[in-house]
Amino acid sequence: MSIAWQFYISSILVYLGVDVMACWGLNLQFGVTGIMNFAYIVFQAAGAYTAAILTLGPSSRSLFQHYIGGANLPFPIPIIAAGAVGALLSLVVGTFTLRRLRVDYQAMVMLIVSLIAINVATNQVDLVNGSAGLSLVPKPLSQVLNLDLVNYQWFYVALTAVVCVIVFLFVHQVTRSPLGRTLRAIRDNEHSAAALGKNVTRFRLLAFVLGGAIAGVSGAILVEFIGTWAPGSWTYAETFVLFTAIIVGGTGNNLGVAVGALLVPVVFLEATRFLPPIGYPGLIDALQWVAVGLLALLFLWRWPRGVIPERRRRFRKPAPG
Amino acid sequence: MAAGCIPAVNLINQAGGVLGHKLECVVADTRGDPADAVPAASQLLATQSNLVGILGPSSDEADATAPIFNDSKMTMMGDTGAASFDQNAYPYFWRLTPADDVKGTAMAIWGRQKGFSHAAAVFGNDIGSQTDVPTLVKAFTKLGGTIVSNESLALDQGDYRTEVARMLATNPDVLFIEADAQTEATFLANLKDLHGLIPVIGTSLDQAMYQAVGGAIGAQNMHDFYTTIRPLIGSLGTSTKTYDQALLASGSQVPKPDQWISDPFCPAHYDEVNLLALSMIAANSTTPSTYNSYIPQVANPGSGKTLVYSFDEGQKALAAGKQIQYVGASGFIDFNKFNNSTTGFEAFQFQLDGSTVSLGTIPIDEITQANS
Repeated sequence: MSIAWQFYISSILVYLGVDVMACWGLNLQFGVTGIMNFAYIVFQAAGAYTAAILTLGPSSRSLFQHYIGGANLPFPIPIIAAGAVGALLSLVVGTFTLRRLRVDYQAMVMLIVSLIAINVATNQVDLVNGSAGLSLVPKPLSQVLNLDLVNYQWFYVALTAVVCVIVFLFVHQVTRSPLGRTLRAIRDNEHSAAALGKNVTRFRLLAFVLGGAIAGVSGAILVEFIGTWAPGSWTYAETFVLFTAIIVGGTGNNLGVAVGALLVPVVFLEATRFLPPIGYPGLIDALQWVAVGLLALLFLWRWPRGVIPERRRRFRKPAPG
Repeated sequence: MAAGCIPAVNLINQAGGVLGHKLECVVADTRGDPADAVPAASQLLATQSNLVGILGPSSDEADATAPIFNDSKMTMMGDTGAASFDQNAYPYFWRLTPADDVKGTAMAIWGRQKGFSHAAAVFGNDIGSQTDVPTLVKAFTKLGGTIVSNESLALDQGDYRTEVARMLATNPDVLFIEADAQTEATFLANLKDLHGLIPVIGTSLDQAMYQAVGGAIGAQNMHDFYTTIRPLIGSLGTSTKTYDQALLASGSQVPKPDQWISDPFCPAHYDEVNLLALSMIAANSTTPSTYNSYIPQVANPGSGKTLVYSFDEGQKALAAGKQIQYVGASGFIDFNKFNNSTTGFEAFQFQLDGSTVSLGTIPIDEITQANS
């Protein structure tokens, strides 16, 4: 296989890992708990900016980019910090949005949060360097490993896979535990769950924070790979790609969600790059958003439980007496 | 970009191609954001087996994709004004178009030369516009002026009265502005309505800007109040005429080619293709890792070099064993040690019929001094 193809395939595998992680985090919120988080990409972006800032060093060292904070922390601290910031931001946003609002109003508020966040990041230039974003983020361990380009790519694929496994074990543990059963009960009928003594808001907030932490980690893995992050990378429409992946793969099912992340952001969107150019430059790019929307609608209409539906859990009847 | 690439490729192929090979322009959409651009760039490298050079990457994704092209030893002619490339360290990255931060300095110098001391900076919140701002502020202050207002505009809003009022409260005597045509038109129309126009120093010469802003504030006001700072074009011999003729002749491949005649970037892309082709001939190779180092040899000035104004002139001179200096349709080219070429800026005034006249030049030495 040529070096160029190895480079391309390894890049796609890293993106797949990032998308799978992001979908698991969103699935924890939406698929398992029923929270319509249309601002999910914001938490991924917060993680990406955090990792970038904690890797780049102080802003004063840079001639062309300005941001708050700045440190030169070794791997994997920036990635862990990204997860922490994702969780913290989720806690703040969730505290305000999950407390009193109905689910449909929560969705509206989340969409607004997404729009506000991108406008703040773009216009408050000293925050994260405005629309130009952050760039020249050093790749983790590249100085230590001293690998050539392609071998570093494969190293990063392995690193992403390891983080994916950790995230999977975490979400799997959550969803199969009593906590997962509680979250599903809240999703299916919050009044019944509340009647059984469950604090619905607190459990929702917990799922929201855990999903936000995973989003932050996924953003960190992505930014440390591509070395740059700007508002153009996290427009609100990106969230809908992740929602579509979950709907297509199988809402509430971690394995299905991983398949959805493979089918939608990777196979479905990547395939459009191989189409011959038609119309004006950018037409295919614009049409892909339409196609993603139609795909989500098609699955909601024809196969609402996705390619790999959530397993219906059966419990033994308690023994009489 | 096609309006520069296609005319160049047509002329090169008419002249016999490069070392017996015909060239072709292939469009690769990087989708304009860093995250999407990385797989797009790597896919381009993987699937285009005969790729010999790249026009781009552009501002939105250059920081993400330039390392990929560089590590793949693929020569690229950057279409980005990003300041991160001012001290570029990628040997395969070359830039003919000036950095945005250099443009900011040029604007500041022109403003001070005209005697303005209290300036408002109003720039769109897009990447290309915002990168002008730090050096504009720094240079204008260094030259003794004061930036009294610094507004970042959300693009394409229907009304900017709040921003205009906020700016007017600081009593500026000049307005530095850069945004897309519609945004500038709306902002200046609001300024005209609320207060009346003040001198404006902008950065666009294209017809879309003239039609939008001229339509909003009137052609007479555009002529009286609006000055544009653009990269220096100067006296170029036949290069510009050759490019214009080739562009107009490519109407079947470039929709409405005449709209690109006054665009300063299209001739740069035309020059970039010619530079790539001439350096391939000079190196006797179409392999980027071989011909890349020949680019300054065919572009930069030097004693005893023969000036050439087209690909055809260049290849004939090279065949005759001469050292050449290609003088492009976008101006003289002189790459520095960071593979950047900037030869200064020029101020223009719009005329009532939409044409432009030069008001003066800002030499690169002066810009470098103000930027230091």
